[in-house]
Amino acid sequence: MRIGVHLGNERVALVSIDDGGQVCTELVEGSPSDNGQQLDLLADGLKRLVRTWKAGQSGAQVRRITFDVGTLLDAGMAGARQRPPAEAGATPVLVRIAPRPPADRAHELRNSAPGLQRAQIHHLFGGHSAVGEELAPLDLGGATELARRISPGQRIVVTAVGSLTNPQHELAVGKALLDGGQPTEVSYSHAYFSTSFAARERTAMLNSSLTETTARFATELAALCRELFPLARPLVSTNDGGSTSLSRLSVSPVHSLASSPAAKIVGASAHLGHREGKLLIDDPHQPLLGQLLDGLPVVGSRYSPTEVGLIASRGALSWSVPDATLAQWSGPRVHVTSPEAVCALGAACAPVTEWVNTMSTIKTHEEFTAALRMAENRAHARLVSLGYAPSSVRTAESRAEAATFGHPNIVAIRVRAVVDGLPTHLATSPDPPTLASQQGA
Amino acid sequence: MNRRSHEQVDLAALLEAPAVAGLRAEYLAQAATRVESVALVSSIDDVTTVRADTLVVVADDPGLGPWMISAALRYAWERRASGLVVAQDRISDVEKALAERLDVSLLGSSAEASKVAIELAMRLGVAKAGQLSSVHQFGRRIASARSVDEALRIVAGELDGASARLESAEGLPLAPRQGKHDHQAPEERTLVSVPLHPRNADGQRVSVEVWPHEAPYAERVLEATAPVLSALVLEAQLRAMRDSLPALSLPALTGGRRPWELTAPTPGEAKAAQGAPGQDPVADAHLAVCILAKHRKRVGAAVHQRWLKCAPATPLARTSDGWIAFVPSATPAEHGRFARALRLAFAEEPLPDVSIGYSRHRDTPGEAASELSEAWLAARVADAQPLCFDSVTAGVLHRVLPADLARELVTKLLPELMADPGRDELVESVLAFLDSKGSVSGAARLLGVHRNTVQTRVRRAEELGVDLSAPDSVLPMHLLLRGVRPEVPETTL
Amino acid sequence: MRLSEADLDHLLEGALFTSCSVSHEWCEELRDTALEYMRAGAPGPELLDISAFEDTDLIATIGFVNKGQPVTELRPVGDEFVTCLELLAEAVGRPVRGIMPLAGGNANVLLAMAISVQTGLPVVDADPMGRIFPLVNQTVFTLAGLPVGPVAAAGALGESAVLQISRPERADHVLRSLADEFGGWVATASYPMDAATAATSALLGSLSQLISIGSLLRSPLPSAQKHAALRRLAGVKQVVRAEVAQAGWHAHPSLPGQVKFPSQVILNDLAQGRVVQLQVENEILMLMIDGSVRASMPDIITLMDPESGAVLSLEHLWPGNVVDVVVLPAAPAWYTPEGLALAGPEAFGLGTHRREGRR
Repeated sequence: MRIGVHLGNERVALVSIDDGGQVCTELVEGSPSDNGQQLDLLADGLKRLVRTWKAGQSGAQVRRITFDVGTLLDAGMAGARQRPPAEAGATPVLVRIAPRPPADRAHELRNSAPGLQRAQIHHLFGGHSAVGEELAPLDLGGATELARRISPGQRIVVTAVGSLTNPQHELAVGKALLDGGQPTEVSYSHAYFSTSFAARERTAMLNSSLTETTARFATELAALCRELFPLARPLVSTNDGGSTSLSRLSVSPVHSLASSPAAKIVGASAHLGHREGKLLIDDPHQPLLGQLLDGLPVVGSRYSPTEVGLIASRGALSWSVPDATLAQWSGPRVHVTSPEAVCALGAACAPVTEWVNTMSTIKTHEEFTAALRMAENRAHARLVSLGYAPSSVRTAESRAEAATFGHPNIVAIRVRAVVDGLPTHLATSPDPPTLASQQGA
Repeated sequence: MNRRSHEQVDLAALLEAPAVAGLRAEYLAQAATRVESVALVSSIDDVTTVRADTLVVVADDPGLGPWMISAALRYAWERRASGLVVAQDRISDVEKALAERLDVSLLGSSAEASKVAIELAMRLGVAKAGQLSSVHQFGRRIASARSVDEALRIVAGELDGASARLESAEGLPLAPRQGKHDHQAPEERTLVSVPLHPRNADGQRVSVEVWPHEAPYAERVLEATAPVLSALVLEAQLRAMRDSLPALSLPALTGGRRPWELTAPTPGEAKAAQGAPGQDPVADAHLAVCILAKHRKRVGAAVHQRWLKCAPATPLARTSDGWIAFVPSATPAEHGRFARALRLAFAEEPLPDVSIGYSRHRDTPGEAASELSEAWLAARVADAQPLCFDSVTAGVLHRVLPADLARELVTKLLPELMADPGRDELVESVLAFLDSKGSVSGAARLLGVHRNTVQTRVRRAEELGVDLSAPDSVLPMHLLLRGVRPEVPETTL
Repeated sequence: MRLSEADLDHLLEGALFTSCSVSHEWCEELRDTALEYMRAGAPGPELLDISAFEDTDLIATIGFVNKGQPVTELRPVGDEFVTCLELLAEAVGRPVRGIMPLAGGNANVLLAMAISVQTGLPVVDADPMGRIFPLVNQTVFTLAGLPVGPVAAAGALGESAVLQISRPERADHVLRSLADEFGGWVATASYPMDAATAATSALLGSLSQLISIGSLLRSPLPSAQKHAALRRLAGVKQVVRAEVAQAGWHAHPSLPGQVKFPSQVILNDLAQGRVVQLQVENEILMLMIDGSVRASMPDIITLMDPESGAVLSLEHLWPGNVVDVVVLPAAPAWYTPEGLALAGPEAFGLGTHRREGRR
């Protein structure tokens, strides 16, 4: 039995799918103004769901419970943007490691993300080349000095040139900052995959601003799970339409910021049984066009949340639908009566996913194949180490992405591994609220 | 019969067991693909110069970009090559998809390109040799043929029932066709023709109509058949000649007289001849046939072939302007049967400038000379059809004044008559009048009309120029008008 | 003319259109650099026709030369091109009066604008390629026999060099090596010449053409009308609309002296089922349909969104996506025998295939 939970702004939706594909839905109304109330609503809804099952027959074991918190996070961010800029601590401190500091302010490129205009930017010497060689020796002394200067309680983002291939300088500086100061948190850009310094920094910044709230939330969600379903794995849905351990929500919430549209695509696809090609999700508030490949939403390497530049998180591709297209669309379409329920269904169906993105230097086709194979094995191993049976793990995507300009032997490897296990056919229960109805194939 | 021996070497056949080592068919074209030759190319651009039906092997070159295989497929399609062989590891899904789209066979090879090319070329040679061996086997079969017809039947059978025939240098058929003549698409067929003998002075040929792709094999088949046919034809002629030798010696027969001088023997002569052994070479009841040919040499073989149809046991004797023969014929029925057979044999494919006459049935034997005279006369008068002497008068008319000449003369001499709207009735009436020896009533009876009608018409005809006054003009006028209306039933003069 | 922020946006779109590349970020960051200055009060970049210069004014061509690290990773600190222009002026003995981008597409166009705003130097409305080519010597200046040097080069680490080189192909080799050593890229100022020479040899008006193209692309016209207008403006032809079937970037072994094989993207023409192949190596080098070459270097092959007509990057070539492949001709000089020898299919290892339906 799996459970999917969508935490929306106006209501909480809960969906359960048992091993036979039977779907049950529960909606809990309410628009809480803070997370604490959210949790109460959630608890309420979960308890009701349990009662419904017990009233039914299944004493089935809940194996997974996946939370879709994207809408909440997004709302939180929007709220944060509306708060007065004078609030200190709103923007993290940025430490940039490069062979030389910018010659003037214009070259600090402060307009690539909101909040950069006001941010504290510190420069340290260091950085690596595309093949991982040091461009300039790391100014550790400067790092220690910096640690003392930064006021305590700050969140710091450390970005170094070339950290994708060699994160040593970032790690060393981070350590120095932690040892010599009292920051709340040090985030590293190399946790995010992009060959753009600015994109990594931006992503780390965004993530850092989210972790403040999500860390606590995640813990409380986990506690609730343990209480109600001690044997279930708690998961959180991610931007790519998959899911990962709930614990990751406190570390890298940026990967769940756009999970709701992705979950909607997954839910609509599961409801229709549509696994390949474009799908129109006719949500009266926000119609969406998604694309599926082998049952999974097609995912770009970056996406662009509102008012932020591109961030280095793999987001399910979706397009807004102009009215003209809506009327003329003759392909598969799902009418959504309860968007939250569709998201919850999507969360329940979201496969546990692991990504491996690396830059590899290769010279021959054999080396390339070997590098791909290695990345696939790594992804598989991670899933298995999380406790999933090796036979249920498969590689959904394995390819090279466009390499960096000018260097023919460096390719970006992209591997996505997922855990299968969803029953192939879902049967929606006839009880209201109906989450969606189909129209033509 | 093995179908494949009719066609060129097929790609699928070339790749058959045992499989060519290291060669894998990634895509085989839908239509049957002929392979004429194998080419090894080292540069993709060379594919643009190969001939059609060539199997192209591309030498592997590390400098070959992946798109070049796609370009090579395209070129192969444009040049109508049999297919493309490239290194196996150069073939990915896109090359297979393109091969399928263009319907060009694509094969992958894990062996070295020049080795593969040699192997394929050897196989092609073996396949072609296989074709040669089937011709050899055919040659043995045809050697067992005992007659021209049988030989032609065997040829037709080897070529899937194609229509086979033996013909003279001018294209005149010397024997009936064997096999079916496909009327449906005659223009699509190719005519393959081979002379019977390179030194054959008669220029006879054996021909067959086949589909274009079968033509080369058909030619080999005919080349194997020609000597056999030549022998059969010569043999038949020789036999005929040999058989005719003791039968007839014309001088002996005629006693040195020319045919038209021959008359019926007096009873005394007949009696004398009857008793004397060896005197009358034609002892039993018979009829004489005379065949006159303007170009005897040219139509000789054709005449013989047809003669063999109606009277195989009777030899033809050659004369200076044709042939004569004496056919046993004891009863009128036999006579009639022979006449029909003769007509049939020579009517099927008439020979130009050949006329045939035969004598009437005689009850008494021993009148060979006068029979011959009858046959000769009938032959002189006959046109396309063989003519019996007892119908000779009818033929005379035709000979004396051919219909077309008559028409022209009448148009010139009697323009008013020809222009008259009632012309046909007028002519009919005049002819009936003349046929009734000038009797109006007789003519009226003949035509089934009133005598006044006849009278009126005859007068009218005279007004229009038909001159019946002078006795000398009656016969010519009769002849002229008869020429214009030959269907009018005639009575014997 | 002074370019406004809107003009810069149009220019960006046009520059991206004529050079379908991996991602748009590099160009955007350079535009953002220009904007930073402008928002701090500096006047916008000045784009001048060549006739506005004195015959003897010194014009320099500036551009990035890359080997390894993208500029979005190792970002310029802001003094590299200033250093180059100073070094070049010193080597030539005269101050630089105007700049030109090395390529008429992609980042170098925006670079010229950023440098113009930073230094106040006007940008000549011209460039020596008319599109983007990978090598420094693939310019009309080379075709005209003009010397490439002296060349000034400066890197992100603060190192610099002045190269006394006259043969352009040598300059590319040396600059590539410098780029490698200087951290992944090098800023260059090259092809110093009088305005009079530039007037006769450079491809004039190319940058304002990019602004026009960009303005058209960013207009709210429906896709079909955009295509028609682009055809009239720049000879842009929509060749095929196809769905990406397979996008594989492979590294192939390259022999010494051989160009490495480009990667191949396979698409399916939905309307007619034809097999479409794109050969890609930083740019799109060749377009084949059903095995027949329909466009190849130096033709400009780029991608547009079928619905909106927006410019797409190579990142949009993911399986299942439907794109419009469009082709426009490069400057006529590239179709001469010398032009084809320098920048035609053979120069890119694409062989001497006949192109159907092309001049």
